Amino acid sequence: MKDAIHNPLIIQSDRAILLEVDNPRYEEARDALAAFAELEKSPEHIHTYRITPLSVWNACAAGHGGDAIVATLCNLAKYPPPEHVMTEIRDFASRYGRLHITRDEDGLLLTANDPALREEIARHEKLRSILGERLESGTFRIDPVHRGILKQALIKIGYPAEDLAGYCDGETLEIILRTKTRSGMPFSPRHYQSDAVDSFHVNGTARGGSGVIVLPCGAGKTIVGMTCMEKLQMSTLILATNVTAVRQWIAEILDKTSLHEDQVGEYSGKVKDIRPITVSTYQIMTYRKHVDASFDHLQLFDKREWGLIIYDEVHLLPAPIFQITASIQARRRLGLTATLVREDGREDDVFALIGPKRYDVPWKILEKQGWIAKARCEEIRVRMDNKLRMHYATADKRGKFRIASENPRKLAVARKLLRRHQNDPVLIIGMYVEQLRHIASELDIPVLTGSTGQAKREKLFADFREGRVKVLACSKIANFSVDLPDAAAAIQISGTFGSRQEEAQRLGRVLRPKKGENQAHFYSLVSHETVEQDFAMNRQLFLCEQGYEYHIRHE
Amino acid sequence: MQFYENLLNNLNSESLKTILATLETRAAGLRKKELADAINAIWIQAPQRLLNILSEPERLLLAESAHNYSEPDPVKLNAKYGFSYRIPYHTGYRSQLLAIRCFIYSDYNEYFLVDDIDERLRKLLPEPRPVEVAAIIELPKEGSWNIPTWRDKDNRETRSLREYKSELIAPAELRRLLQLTAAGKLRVGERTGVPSAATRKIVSEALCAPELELANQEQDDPDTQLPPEASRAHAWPILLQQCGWAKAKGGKLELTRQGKAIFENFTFALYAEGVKKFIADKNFDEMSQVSIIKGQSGRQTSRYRIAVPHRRYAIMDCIRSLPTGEWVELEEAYRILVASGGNCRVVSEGFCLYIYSQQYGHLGGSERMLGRVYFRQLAGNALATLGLIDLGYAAPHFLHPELYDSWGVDDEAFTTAYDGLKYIRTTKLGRFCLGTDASYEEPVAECSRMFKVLPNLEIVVTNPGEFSSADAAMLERFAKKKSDAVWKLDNSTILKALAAGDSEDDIIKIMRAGSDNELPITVLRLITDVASRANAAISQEDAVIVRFRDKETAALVEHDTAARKTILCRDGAALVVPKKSLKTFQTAARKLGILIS
Repeated sequence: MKDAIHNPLIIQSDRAILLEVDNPRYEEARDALAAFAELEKSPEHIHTYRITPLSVWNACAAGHGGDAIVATLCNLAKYPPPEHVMTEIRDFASRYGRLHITRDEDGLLLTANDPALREEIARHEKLRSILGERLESGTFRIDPVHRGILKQALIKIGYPAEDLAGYCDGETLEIILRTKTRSGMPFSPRHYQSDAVDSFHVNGTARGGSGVIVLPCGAGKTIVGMTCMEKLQMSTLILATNVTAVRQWIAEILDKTSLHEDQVGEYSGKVKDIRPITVSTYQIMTYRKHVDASFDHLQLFDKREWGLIIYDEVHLLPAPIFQITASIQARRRLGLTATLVREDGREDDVFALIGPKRYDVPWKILEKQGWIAKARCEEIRVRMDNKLRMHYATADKRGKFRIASENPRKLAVARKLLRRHQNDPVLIIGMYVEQLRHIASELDIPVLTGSTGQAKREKLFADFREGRVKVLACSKIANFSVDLPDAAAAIQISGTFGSRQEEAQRLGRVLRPKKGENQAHFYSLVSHETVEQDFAMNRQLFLCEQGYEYHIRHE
Repeated sequence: MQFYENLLNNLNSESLKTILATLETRAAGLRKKELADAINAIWIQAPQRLLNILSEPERLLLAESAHNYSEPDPVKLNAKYGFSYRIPYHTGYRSQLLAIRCFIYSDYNEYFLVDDIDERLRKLLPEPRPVEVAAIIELPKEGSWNIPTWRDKDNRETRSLREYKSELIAPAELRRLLQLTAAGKLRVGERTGVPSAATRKIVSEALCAPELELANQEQDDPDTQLPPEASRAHAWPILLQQCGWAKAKGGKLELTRQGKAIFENFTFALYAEGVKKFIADKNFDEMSQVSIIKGQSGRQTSRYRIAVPHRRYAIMDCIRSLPTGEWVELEEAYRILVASGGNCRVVSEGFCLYIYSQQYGHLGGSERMLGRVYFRQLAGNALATLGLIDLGYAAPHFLHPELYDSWGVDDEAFTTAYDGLKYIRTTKLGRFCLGTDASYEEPVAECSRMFKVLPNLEIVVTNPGEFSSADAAMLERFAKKKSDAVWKLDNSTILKALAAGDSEDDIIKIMRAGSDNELPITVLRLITDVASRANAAISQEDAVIVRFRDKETAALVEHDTAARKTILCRDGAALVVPKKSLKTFQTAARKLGILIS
């Protein structure tokens, strides 16, 4: 620890790790931390990571041991790490792999090498009913139906089981990635996408085949999914967040793989088409006629012998999907997400039921390599005229937000911004449809809302993609999975600003690589000295913590 | 009295003979006049001969007196040169050489230079060197104290020294105190002006840095507990009054005109004005906080008490003469004070003061030591609180640096809470307030770059090893601690700091000083946003609500030409009238036949 003072890490007693970005050993530390700590926030200068039981177990699943983690931390720490943190890491790590789920000719087995642990789980209130017959070798027989529930329950008591029971092979399906897309563009997966697939596949062994791949918005998660499909050559069920995303998946699959239209089906509210590759939404899967009715569409999971299930935006996975996923643990599962943070805190269920984190690449690296655009976020404060201020002052809370959001002076600012980006494709995103329509008519641009028909929507997207439409006004539907490859700037004229991941998704619309300086712009128009400004503060914090450059200026 | 006259009147024949014998000169006869003639002749013809038979301290005593146009002062001489010289009595032993007595005479225990020699002495004796101050740049890690016991007179004890840097803290705390005063939150004794326990609590919560760490870490003995007076929480409400910024009214402190001026527009010139008032203040005697010394309020003591401003002026002169930015031992500072002719004695006769027992524990003969106790108390309590000096100190317990051999101190844990005060350092603010420097610019906090301010409003301490509790307290003024090394800014924490008297500039200045990086725009914007909204209310005044029987009557009054000018607003049957316009409103209402009492 001679020159420890020049090291980049400060390890706190709450298991948070502060990493100095300006330190010469930053990159070494960042790469080391990625294995066993979750990046919580990455503002300029200092990044905060956190070590949790899950992060340690994720590391263990990737082959890192507790001692190795502790040694890495000691090597990189500026000050001696708190002793209890080191003990906890060793303790967490020692819990992983003490229980194995394996398979013999008669079915599934849960094995615990430690007799005391064996007794503990045998007597545990919740586990008792799940565990089957106790065999002489000290193992337990498990009903395959309980495989998921058991893993969920074990993780809750702090002993994650390593699932080595393998998977059933689904229907075989020949899938080849094209070298040239249908639209004629050369195509091959990027190196990090291939690395992610290899981490997931683990040469087809039982150690792989399930898990989560974390890639930033705009990094090409769809392509990772398709490459996994190619690797496995099996029929696949893909679950996405909404119909637009479903169509996007289908378009991408048809564009970049050898599959034909008759092999790829959509299972949504309108179409119930089950094909070797079926793309559906979480919404339809969790639809039921009334509260007490059953989820009829969950039968889709059993309609075919799926070899792989892809969960797009896994951080949004709804509770019923968790339940059904618990019962299909014999199938390969791939989760795709930009963030493992769930608003409902069910990260442990993702770990237990989808699988451990298999691959995570910091977005800064991708930005540096030019795979995603550099984003500049700008908050522009727009004054309200005195009459509107008085109206605002006397309105109730809800009214205040709406008045601030619909501040008419935002139009002039949007116009100025459009002039600045006159040669770039620009999205105008808003929460209030009336406001969007008004702005769209003033600026003479098309508008896309929830009520826009699918056909018109797709035409608008196509026009936008091909440059026939330069500016497009979108309501909240633009939040998820709408692939608008060349949007160089987004102007948010109003928004709920509530959820962290919603914000990330909006920003994701402009993060795809750009020609030239590879610079994306994200503008938020906020009425000065209003509640909108308070909401903007939350957004500001989120974006800063994601490491985006953030500027505030007045109109 | 002339030289010759002094020889005849104040020296006896034996003394004159001894002087002549030392000079190896014979007189014309043995009569006193003939002996005096002989010495006078030497003084006129070969004065150097007479000066040569004086000892070194005696020659310096004369040189100091002649060149400084002052009377001979052996105390000052000893302090300056480290002698322990005493002027011999003019009726000394036969063998004692009283040559110095040829030049000085005494009257009622005071010494005077004979009248006709000072000019000659200035030619004959070289000009003495000025007082030299022993100072050091770095505060030592430890200080050593001599704690004599009856077994061991040279029993030394070493303690770790702590540092209190006051210069940046004092103005910031003053702003908060003025804010509290303006809000009427500070209660003091109507007669004494001393803060109540509740007020001390309020003030301690508003302090910008922790109190001095004076508590005895090793002992839980309640007798060793520090008195509440040993705190800035106690000192500030008194200082507000001494500096003329507040006065007690109805048990509460209220801002004076000067207080309002500095509260509304803080300048260091106004701050210096306040310090000047503090020095001249006659109402509070810091010595009264040294509770171990009894008899301070006695009738006898009032006869012998030396006026408080006199003591403070002496100490301030001393502080002024100390080098800026260098540490000086308190003992050395006191030596400088005495060597410069200053005197901070509390009483001219110590018999009126005592410890425990008036008979056994009287402090007669300890007058100078009492002066040192006062110096210590003033420095530790008031001067450091006002930011004029920094302190290097240790816990005070069982040191008794001044009164260690006084009767009764053995039973006390300390004489003052500042017994462990070892070093002081004059600040630039001190030099400005005391008039040494003509201008003052508040220094940037010299805390080493200890943290990074992040755009997500977090402050991360990157150097926890050197991050002290004072630094933590500084951050806690406007940020909330989230974990070991992370603080976070938000609306409420900044608003709290603003409400406590910090300005937008203060917060930014402190962060800039300690931050390793440029402050992110998001942080600056948050502070300015909060400050701008916080300052939206520009003034406040009292108003009364006048309720009428029905809204028609209220409307009648509201529309009266004379009354209308005074009415702020109407709500149904109630009118709101500013208090200052109430009389006009009453008159107008009376004209309408409505009596408003």
